Amino acid sequence: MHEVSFLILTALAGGDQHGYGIISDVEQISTGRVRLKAGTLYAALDRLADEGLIHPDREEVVEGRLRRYYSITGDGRERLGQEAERLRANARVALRRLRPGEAMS
Amino acid sequence: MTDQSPLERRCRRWLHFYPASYRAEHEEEMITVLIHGASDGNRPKTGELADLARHGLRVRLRQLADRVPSRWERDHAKVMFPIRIGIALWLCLISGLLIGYHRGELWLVLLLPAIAAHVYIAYRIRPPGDRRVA
Repeated sequence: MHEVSFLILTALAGGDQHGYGIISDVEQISTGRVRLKAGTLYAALDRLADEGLIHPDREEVVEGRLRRYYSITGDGRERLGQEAERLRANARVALRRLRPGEAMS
Repeated sequence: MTDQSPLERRCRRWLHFYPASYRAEHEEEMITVLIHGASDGNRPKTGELADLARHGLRVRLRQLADRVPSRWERDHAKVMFPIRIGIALWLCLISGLLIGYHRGELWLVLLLPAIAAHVYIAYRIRPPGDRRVA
């Protein structure tokens, strides 16, 4: 899974969000490392929606501007959980091997 | 709709990299995101517009690849496919002859892209699922 997809799913796992909300949340989750641009964000949202991991939910107009909220689906939660487990397992091995004297374990 | 600011007009212009069907679906929410993210309230952030162009063109290319050719295009392709292949082979033949006789003449190099273009176009317009034509 792309890191961008992982971060967007993580953002939506905390609740429905609109485009700019996702960008801000992803920036926060990645501690400022990933700042999504609009084109990249919507390409990723389309891909995730096509895969059935998220879906566009409701719309609202704030100060004359449209906001469309996206929410994570059951499949999306499941995929995010699997991906997080995979990353945790990899990270555990990496950190163990980085400890002095345990290079081959 | 409210009067458009120069920033909004600029963002909408750049969104024309996306096909109309995509804009009908996403333009308004993307404008919201772009205006919210503009650095000094007047200009989109550096790289933001290039990112729109890149992804917009990608959507257009994908739509182009996915679209179903019309009946006219299929009939046209059926006739033109063997002709394109014929032209490419003919160009191969004369370029071979000319290169043989006039080795080193630079303009001959132009024949190679021409051959490649004909073969490519022939490949693109090949009749779907009809092997007998080729």
